[in-house]
Amino acid sequence: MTSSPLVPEISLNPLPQSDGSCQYTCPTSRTTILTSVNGPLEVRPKDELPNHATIEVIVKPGIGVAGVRETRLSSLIHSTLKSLILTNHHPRTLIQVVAQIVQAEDHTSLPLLLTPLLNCTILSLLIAGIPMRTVGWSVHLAVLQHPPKTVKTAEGQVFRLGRGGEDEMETEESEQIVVRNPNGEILGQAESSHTVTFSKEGEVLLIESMECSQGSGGQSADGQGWDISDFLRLAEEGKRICCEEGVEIIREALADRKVF
Amino acid sequence: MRLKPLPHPSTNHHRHHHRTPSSSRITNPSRPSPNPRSRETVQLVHYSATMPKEPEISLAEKTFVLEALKQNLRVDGRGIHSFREIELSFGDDYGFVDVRLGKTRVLARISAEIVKPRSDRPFEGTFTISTEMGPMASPSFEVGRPTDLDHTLSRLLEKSIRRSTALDLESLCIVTGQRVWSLRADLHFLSHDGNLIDTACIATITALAHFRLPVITVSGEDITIHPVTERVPVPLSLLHWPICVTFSFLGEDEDGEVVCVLDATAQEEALREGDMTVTVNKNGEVCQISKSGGVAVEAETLMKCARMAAEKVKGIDKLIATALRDDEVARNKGNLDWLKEGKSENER
Amino acid sequence: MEGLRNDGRRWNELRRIHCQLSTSSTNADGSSYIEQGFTKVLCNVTGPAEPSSRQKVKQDSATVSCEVYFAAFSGTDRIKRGRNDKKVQELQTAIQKTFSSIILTHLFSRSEITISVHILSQDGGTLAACINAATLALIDAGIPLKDYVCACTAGQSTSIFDNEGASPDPWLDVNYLEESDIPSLTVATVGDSEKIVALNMENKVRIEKLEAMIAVGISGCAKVRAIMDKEVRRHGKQKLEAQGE
Repeated sequence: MTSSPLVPEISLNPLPQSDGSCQYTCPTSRTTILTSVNGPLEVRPKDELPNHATIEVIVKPGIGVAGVRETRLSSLIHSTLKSLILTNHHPRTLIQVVAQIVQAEDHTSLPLLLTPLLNCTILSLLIAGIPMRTVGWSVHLAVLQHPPKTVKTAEGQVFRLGRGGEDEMETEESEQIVVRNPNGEILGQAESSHTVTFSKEGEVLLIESMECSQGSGGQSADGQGWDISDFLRLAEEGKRICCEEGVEIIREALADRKVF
Repeated sequence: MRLKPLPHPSTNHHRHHHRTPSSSRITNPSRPSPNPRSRETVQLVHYSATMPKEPEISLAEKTFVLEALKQNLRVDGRGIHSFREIELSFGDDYGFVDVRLGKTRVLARISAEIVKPRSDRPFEGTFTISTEMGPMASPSFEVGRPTDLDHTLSRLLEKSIRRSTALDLESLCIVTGQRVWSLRADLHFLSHDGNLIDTACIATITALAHFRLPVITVSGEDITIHPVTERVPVPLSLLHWPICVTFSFLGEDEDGEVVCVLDATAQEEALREGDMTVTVNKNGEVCQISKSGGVAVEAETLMKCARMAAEKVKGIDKLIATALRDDEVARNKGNLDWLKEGKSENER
Repeated sequence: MEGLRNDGRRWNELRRIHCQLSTSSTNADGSSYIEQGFTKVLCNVTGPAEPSSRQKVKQDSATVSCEVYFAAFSGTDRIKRGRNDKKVQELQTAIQKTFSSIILTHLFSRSEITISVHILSQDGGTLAACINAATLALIDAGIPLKDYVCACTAGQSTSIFDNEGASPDPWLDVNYLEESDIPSLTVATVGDSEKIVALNMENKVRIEKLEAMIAVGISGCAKVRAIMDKEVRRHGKQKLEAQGE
């Protein structure tokens, strides 16, 4: 494992048969996603839109047949893509995105899958040459009360969300620990999990937050919900990660390709 | 790996949900629910939808391929009876394999859970193979709308692997009539460049041979599943490795005899006039033969094909065994490193 | 035992075959009924007709489609098999693919030929009986075929007679008991050419034994063809005579 713990392993166009494809491995949770994009294709008459391209997102689970979880994931991806793709450039066509969960630490955990799915999809859309208004990037942040136990975390993966910037050390009890790209074990210890997606310009594309049931530590349930000002600071940090680091990752990944 | 010891034998709804055929169609929300009474409407919807087609082979291309075959040449430079290079790679988990034959790529994943056995077979575990093709392999495959290839493939794998009793289902029994292992093979078709059947069969067999079941101990009513880190998991009891070899009949050689091509590409499959799948194991036992329709072929030619399949399978069998051994060695090496570094190291 | 099988046949004996053409007077263009032992199959053919859907339209040839229906009472256990049953779909695909290559489809572009097979009773060799019935019904419908397609089964007998070390003879035309007991295959040939158009085997068999089984199967196909041909000629003659009157 020589690569940086915060930079995903990306392989572009692993599937030569599709218009654009990407394989994405999250460095910490080892979640591997493979997406392929085909389009613009012929669209089924009943799905045809007179002024726009139809976007179809299919999420295929690693184990079993697609169910409610996959439908939820694909609708989240669909709504994100709808605001990114310039659908009016190819009216009466179909842009088909298929995402295959290749490997996952926990095949049932939605937050662990969402970020890799979104990032991988966006990369494969770029490869397929689908016209997009801008690019987006997603990051998964877990909020913990204590530094993660029993799990070794990488440099820069954990940061503190202090109140009032500089003097964060003084108000220790209100400090929250944020872990980027948590794996399943860290997520089990987390209070809440937030998947934030921003465009390159810093617009919010998707925020998917959820309360996590605390790990088996017998913690009291006073961590119910989260403070809005904490959340805004968290979102601000997420925005920085997406707009700076995320965009840099996309740029580097595509740098080898002659098209760009 | 989904390991879910059931709290009570009767609460089996989780698994039941997986079997519901309609759940596979959820990703296609606009599809109307098939109502058996309104057969007319269902048929109408079924066929009126146009789906993206594969590009048709042009006449020039067709002539080129067939003329080349006359001189025992194939477009990709292979011999008539040679496979593309079979690449096998394994994932972090047991029972996960990625098989590539040229541009064809299939993933197989084995998973296990504990269920109550069927009442008519209390001593046997269950094994299901799921082969759902999606548009990832080729835009002409649609979700929830199985093609002919889908049916053929699932039936062939069923006959080749399940009916030939490659897997000893009785060895999956934990407590007779109460708890058995239920194995599931999920095949994911990533890229389609011909010969999905053979690739899928190799993937399933390799994944089964690679899979390890966690050790369990039974004491009275309680079943304890020991995690992989605690006890070394055990391989499945595979009685033999049936491997499919598909012959495609296309074109004629100089004597006017039909040419049998092995491991056809998508282009050759589009041009073929018939095909035959033979499933053999390395001991020379034919587990299944299926040739339905297509060009009529002399019995002698078919026998020659069957013998050739038996030869090819020996090579493929050896290749799988080598890949499995190499992976085992690499894994064990990793385990030793892990021991040396101490148990605090647990990145994954 | 004297080498007799459980129903008293010798190794190379067929069961009684009874076949009939024009059995249905309803809207089918051709129909047939065949009994091979206790396996009984009824077949109706419609077409060439306008395709039932746009997707079945082929610009340069006819589409052959097949529907298989198992009567719930056809087997030893009462089983209802729906349209999506795997066995039904497999039979449909096998019959459809076999006849697509035998019917001269290029003569009827943009049309559809439907073969519907009703299995009334199963006693081994279902696929073979279906193929034979479909051939007869297609002939009755006057649809041009390359030649007869005749199918027969052959089984690899167990070694109970194998005392002298010689390989036992394969059994021709297996019944249900034999089919569930010993490995068997179904072979379909075109006309009297001994060329195989369909071959189907689902059990484990040593490759050395395969050749003998196929050979016996082919010889059975020739016998079946003779019986079917006789009935077609008899039926044709009867029809001509009826027209003459």
